[in-house]
Amino acid sequence: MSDKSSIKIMVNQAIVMNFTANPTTVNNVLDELKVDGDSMAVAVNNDIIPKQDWAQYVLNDGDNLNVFGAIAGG
Amino acid sequence: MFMSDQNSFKPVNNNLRDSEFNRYSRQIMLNDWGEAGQLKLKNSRVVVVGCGGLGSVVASYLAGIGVGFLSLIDGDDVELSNLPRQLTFDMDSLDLNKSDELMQRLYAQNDDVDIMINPIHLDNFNIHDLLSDHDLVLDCTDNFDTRLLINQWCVLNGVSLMSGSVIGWQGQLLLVDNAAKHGCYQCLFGSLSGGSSKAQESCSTMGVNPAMVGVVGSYQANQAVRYLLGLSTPLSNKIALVDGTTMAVNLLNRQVNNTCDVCASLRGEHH
Repeated sequence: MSDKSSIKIMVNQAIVMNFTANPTTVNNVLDELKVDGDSMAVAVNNDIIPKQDWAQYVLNDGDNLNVFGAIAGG
Repeated sequence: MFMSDQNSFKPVNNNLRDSEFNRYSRQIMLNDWGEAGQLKLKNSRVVVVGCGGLGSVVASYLAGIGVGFLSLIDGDDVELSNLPRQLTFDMDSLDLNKSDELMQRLYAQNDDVDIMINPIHLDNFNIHDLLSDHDLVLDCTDNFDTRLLINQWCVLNGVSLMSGSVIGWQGQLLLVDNAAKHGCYQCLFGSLSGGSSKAQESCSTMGVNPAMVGVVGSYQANQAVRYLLGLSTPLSNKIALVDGTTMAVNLLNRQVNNTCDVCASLRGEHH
């Protein structure tokens, strides 16, 4: 059970994560996932968020994140 | 084949021959295609950078469909480990240049198409000559350095770029045709070259499901044709993430990244 102050974030349609930090930012999620932001992109509710905004971008309960890296193969 | 100067390079074809009506009948009958659309394709010039997995799929469809001019660029030779996913090549292709082998295959498929090959690697010195005078650049390359270089050239020169990439069971597709409004490839991922570990990731180091190359290449060809026909494509302001494990395609809205030094030039900034 989550406590009242926690929020649920869905990551890549696969992982549900709970956060109690207030506010919770994109960087908090990446830190929790142990993802190095280099060469990665993040979308919140299908909108790509520029990397320089990740530290300030505040997430809300129920937000869906896509976290993905560039791929080069052809 | 020749490349003429910019003012005269597009001889316009105003009609289709009977054999062309016959060959392309199943696509011309589509409501949003028609004879006018087929003529657009016949007068289109497309350059395919990279003639491996994605490039061979994309070029095969564009040649089959009747795109009038195709330029194929690849300095690599065909290797045995290419054959599972690069279906235009066979055992007789081994150790031969990919762009040359692909051209032979495409001419056998449709000799109405004009094809130019450049059996060399694209670099900072030759990119302007290789990519100029095309309606669309298709990035089918296998490394980030070349992808970033193509993106930069296309943004600065106002030439539309459709980027496709694939690795493992995943694919990515986007169209950069209005970077000032929707951003570019580098807006998404930053300048991921040089010492980044990501910079070394490719099919040869990370592996790929051969069928995913066909899936992503087919999507890339499908959207390239829509672009050339003047039809809408979601890729102009989104990136498509194609997941071969779930069959999901996620379309994510792109935007300009104000720290992107490629797009900075569009804002009149100098870095």
